[in-house]
Amino acid sequence: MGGIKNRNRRVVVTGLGMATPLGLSVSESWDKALQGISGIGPLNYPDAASAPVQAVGQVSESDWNEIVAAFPEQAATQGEKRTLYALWAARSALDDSGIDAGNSDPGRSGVMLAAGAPINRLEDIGPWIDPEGNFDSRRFSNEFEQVHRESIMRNNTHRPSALVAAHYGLGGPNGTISSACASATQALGLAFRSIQRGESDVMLAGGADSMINPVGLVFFVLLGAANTTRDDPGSACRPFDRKRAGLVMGEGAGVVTLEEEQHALERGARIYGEVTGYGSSMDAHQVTAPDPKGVGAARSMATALSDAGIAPEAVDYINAHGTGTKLNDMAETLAIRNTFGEHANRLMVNSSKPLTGHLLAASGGPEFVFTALSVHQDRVHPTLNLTNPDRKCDLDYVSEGQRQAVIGTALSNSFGFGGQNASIIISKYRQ
Amino acid sequence: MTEDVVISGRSLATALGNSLDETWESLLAGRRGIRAVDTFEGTDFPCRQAARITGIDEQSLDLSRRESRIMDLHSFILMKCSVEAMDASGLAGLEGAAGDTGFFAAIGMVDYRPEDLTGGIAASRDEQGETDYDRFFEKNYREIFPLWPLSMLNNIALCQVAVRLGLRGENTVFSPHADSGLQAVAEATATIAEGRNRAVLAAGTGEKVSDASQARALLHGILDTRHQANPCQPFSVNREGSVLGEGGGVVLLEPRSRIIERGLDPAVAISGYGATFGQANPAQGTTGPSRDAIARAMKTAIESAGRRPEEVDLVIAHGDGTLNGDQQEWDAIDALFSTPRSKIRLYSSKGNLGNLLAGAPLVDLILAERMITAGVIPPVFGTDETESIAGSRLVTGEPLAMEPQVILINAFSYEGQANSLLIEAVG
Repeated sequence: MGGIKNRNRRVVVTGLGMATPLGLSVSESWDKALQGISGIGPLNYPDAASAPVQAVGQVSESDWNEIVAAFPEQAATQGEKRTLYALWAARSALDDSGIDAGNSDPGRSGVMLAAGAPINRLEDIGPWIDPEGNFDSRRFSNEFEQVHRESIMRNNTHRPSALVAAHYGLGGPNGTISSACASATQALGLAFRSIQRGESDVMLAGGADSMINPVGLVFFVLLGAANTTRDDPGSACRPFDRKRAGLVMGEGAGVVTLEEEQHALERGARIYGEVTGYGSSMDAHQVTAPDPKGVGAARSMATALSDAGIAPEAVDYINAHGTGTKLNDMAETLAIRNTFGEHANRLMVNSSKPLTGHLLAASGGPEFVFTALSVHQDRVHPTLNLTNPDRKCDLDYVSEGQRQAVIGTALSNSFGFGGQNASIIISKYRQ
Repeated sequence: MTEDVVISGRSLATALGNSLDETWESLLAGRRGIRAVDTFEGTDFPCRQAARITGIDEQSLDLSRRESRIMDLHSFILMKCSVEAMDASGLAGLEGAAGDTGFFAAIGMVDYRPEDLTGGIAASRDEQGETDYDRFFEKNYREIFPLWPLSMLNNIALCQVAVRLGLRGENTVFSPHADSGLQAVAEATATIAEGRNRAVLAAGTGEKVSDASQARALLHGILDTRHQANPCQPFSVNREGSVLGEGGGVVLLEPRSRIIERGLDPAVAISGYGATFGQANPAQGTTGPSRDAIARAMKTAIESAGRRPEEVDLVIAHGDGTLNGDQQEWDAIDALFSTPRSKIRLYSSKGNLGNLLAGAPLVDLILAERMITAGVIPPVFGTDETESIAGSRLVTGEPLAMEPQVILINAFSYEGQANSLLIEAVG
């Protein structure tokens, strides 16, 4: 083993799938994104009227019901929403690619998905707290089978990737990435490498996540990263804006079909673009905040460019991590400037998070879908809610509305809490 | 031709010792790290045994209270082993080396400590003892330590090590079962072979033994709830299940020429890898990989190294002592290595060390390297040859003197993933 034996193995994107607050259809979600229609709305969760976070990107109830109807057996037996989101997005990506999983070589098709922080429900603990306020281990040891179906004790991070593989009979490499918010882009990057190296021909890759539950709703508030204002939900997520006030959580999944070029050509597949480079890095700064100079982020982008064998000037568009937090947006802007130099002034840069909310571990999934569509259609969706320019965020963020421009190559960034960074590059496919 | 990727530094921690030498000597002496543990004293869990680590904490690692407050056992193990592996390689002191070092780690499920949350929840109970979410959301969630969420992210342990050692290279955190440990090693190997980093740490740590991890393992149906005296008997006809173990390991991987330049003598190269998926019994959900998936993973690992099955001397099995898991694995091994020329022997560390989940493959890799350099295979604990479904293939009773040159390591998930890694002696 050990390395890419055949650099001629090219990897193309042949299928796109999503389940996000924008909807369950990729084309409808893309239309909304181009029109600047946000999926973020008021929180709709039982007993959460007092939650410190009230603006969230939720998959709508009707869409959830559609997912449940599509996977009734899994809906009845599987605990977490994210597992169902993963199944939906995977099905969409497979359908879109036209691959008949049943007729493909199962050993050459795999799955690589992101999974976020294990869900910790208050119900995992609450029922077993004794009158003195301590956890009653003895009673718990007799009653652990009563834990909630979404409990961390019933669900492990492998569940989404395993269930997708089992459902579609994909017997190739299968993995779960837990690199916080960099996870899905890393999953896509490693799936890309798996095909490049010849370990597989087809990979479903991306991520699924949901933390809209009582613990999740305070998770980023405790860290000081969440938007806790009572602003209009649709304008709560304001990446690169001077008045940005923190991240807005979203939920859902983005999964794509990556395929070896000849495999795709032989079956006449539609090709959205070619994955040409991937890179990752670590900040090694501190785990509580990103490096303000963006050194790690810049390294991630530079590594991806080097992997693709292209100069910075070849990139036309960047789908930024763009969380809408003070520190991230500034550091990412600086990292882009340091990586691209003068060319940074000519780049289009946007953030998809005002559209969907921050899908956390899964965020790189839908953002990859949008990036691939941009390369395929030469259109870029706007960055919503950027109405107060920040002199420290001084790139072209496409804030005025969707834009049409030739996009030969685009890069998508994802940066994780703690200091893990990932960048992936999609180029227009040329045979 | 691609240059060999070799191990230049290693460190592990297990219930039999917080160093390779301690663990190795205990394995040769037939000692066992599994025992009834204090954590489950006074509880009624149907399995109250585990293999626990001692002596790795914030004091032993010289960590500040600020750092350690968001760490738990898995983070301590990862920190200790990563620092020691870097030191052992001689790379730690080299100018600029850490910045070009990557880090691929497998980390198990990270569970909350109930005491981190009980204050906020207890204060939010209504008169009927139910959680009043208004009380929780309005005020009482602030009883939770503000950085507690970081401690729940699988990746924070890796990031803390990166900060301590100044690592800036390529990286990924895989989770949560044993297959992810081999994935970390394989990805680290490829990263070096492809020239993207000059050195990469590959790591794996399991889960802390706790009420939550024990409950999860019981709900998955993998624990031995019958044998109170001698649980976890890999490949025994009497096996009833596994036992959780704490621990993990870290190796530093580098191109062979680079470590020879530093005067080190590499013993082992990573040469093959296979990864597959296929559930043994989908109707039961979490039964681990099928014999077909296991066979494909092993075959791919062997073929990707340009080897044939009969050239493999030893399989370090996943061998977790589960009824179905061991049978599937043995059936796959028996079929793949059935050629008359195969003299394959079989080993599992789990009877001694417990099931380290994501940490197991790294410990097995480090033990495999020692087996090659020492020319001896420790006996599998808890299984007699006469009771072994693998017959005399299984190393039982006494340490076996043999000089394995090619070793295959298996690691599986309870969701159906099967991974195999091939390593070879280099001289």
